Amino acid sequence: MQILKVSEAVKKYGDIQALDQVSFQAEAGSILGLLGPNGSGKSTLMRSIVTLDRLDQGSIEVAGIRVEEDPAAARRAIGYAGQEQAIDKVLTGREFLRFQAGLVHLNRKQIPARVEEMLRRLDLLEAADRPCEGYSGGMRRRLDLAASLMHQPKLLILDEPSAGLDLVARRRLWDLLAELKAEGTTLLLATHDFEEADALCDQVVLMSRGRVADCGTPQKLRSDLGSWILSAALHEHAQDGDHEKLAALFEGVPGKALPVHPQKADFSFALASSEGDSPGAGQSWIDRIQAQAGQQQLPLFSMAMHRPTLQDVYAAAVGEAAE
Amino acid sequence: MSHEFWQETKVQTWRWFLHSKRRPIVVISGLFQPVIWMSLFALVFRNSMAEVLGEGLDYLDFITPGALLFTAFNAALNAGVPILFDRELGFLDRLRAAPLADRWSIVLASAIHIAAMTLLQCAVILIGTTLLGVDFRGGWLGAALGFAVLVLVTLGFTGLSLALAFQFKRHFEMLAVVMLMTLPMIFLSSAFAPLDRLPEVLQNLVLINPVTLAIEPLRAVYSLSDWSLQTEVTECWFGTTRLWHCLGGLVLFNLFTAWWSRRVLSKKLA
Repeated sequence: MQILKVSEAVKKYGDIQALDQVSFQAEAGSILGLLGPNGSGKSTLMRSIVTLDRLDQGSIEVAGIRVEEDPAAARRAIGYAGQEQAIDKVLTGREFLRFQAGLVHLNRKQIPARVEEMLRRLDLLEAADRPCEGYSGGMRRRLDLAASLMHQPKLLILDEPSAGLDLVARRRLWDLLAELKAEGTTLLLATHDFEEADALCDQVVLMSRGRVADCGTPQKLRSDLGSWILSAALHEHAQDGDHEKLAALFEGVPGKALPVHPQKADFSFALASSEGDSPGAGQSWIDRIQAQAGQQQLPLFSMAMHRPTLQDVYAAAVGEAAE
Repeated sequence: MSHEFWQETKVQTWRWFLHSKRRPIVVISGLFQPVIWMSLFALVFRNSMAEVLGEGLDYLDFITPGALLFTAFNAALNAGVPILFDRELGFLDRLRAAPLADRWSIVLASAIHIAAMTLLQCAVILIGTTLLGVDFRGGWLGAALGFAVLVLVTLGFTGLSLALAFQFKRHFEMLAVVMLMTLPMIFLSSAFAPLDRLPEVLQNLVLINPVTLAIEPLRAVYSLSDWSLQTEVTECWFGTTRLWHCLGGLVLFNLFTAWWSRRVLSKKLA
């Protein structure tokens, strides 16, 4: 069953095309990641889904409700935690959740129990009666999340959920999101963290300049790219023309060249899956290229291989290396 | 209005009152500002204004209605600022993304809070000036009219301020506009000097200022035991201005702000 369906979404701010014919869908009980750098259209799309912005064209359906036709009903099915961690720092954690409970019209008798449940679940009981002003970044993020979950939404939308969190807090957040998914909540999360998307998402939509560059499960996207990523770096004293010579060494290799980040490698190449999945398949090409580089006295510093990551997939899809 | 609408309005109003309780400096400064103005003006002008005002009316009697109005006006005109902070901090988005029965509850909660705080501040000034010997001579009907005038001023300027808050993107833009509006509206009014002592050109300008339109009826019910809607306020270009003219003007101003703020807010809250 589909919980979210975005069809040919278009949004412009003046001359800037924020969304351009964006379409995708999310199944109930899954985690869908919108992956892309800042300015790729993720936040605009999320704001349109939660009815903070309106699309110029296209449509969005949440739990079978057309957002443009009945935004109020759609909002009842959605929980939203934006980038800003919009909590009221004057209130205590408990007061803030009581406030949110009133906003989502929980029954007066249900409120104390639900607030208590959320505080316990998000590990905020100890700090519940302290003003949020003194909360750490992780606690604020958890409180924001608790507030978004107060009315048990079918679709939970999180914009950059782990931004600014330390490793421990991030891991705790991931565990919680996985728990929510297991309970049947559908999650849509926008992130520019490839590792987060890989670890959490069942499906990923890669966005670039307001368009969907690619989409699919992380596994499929990676395997479609190739079996191994071969990367090569030249010595610092490499001369003009050495880059071209290095690229020429890969000309006979089945697969495709990838855009590289200048600080990470000089050349990167996705080896076609048809070459086989075993490490030996990648290694044999590395040996061959290293031998050729030696013959041509090319100042090759190192060569390495790794399994394709979502970062590689993104680079291949949008034609530029991600940071 | 549905039960849900009142529930969400109540909880948002509660939040504003918690803010006032936890940050009392805002309430206290709002209270002290008119007290300081009153004290300074009374000290500086009490003697020199005695001749102008004639016997039976002390300068403190004269400026008390002005101070009450100033309090209501000042608080109402700043009503939108917290909303603007909410907007800058992303909190307004939380409210707008919540399954509210009606987003007008955001505006109503803020208006209720401002109205309550303003009336509380006015009550403190009223008690303080009474203890200092300022008489209220207008009777129960006069008190009711005075209260209605304060409510009209509070609602009119609160509506204006909330609409402005949704028009601006940053709080400093709004604060600049509020500052720009405050001084001329106070000094181009009859808050601190009688209307008939102003130059004629200025008098006409002062008479269309909603602050003056509110002060004059309030001053009349404060200082006259025999006030009526026909009580003369001043002579101006269209003849004699009476109390009902001022009240009518104030109602018109409120109708205008209600229309304009509704227009802006309907668009912004949609």
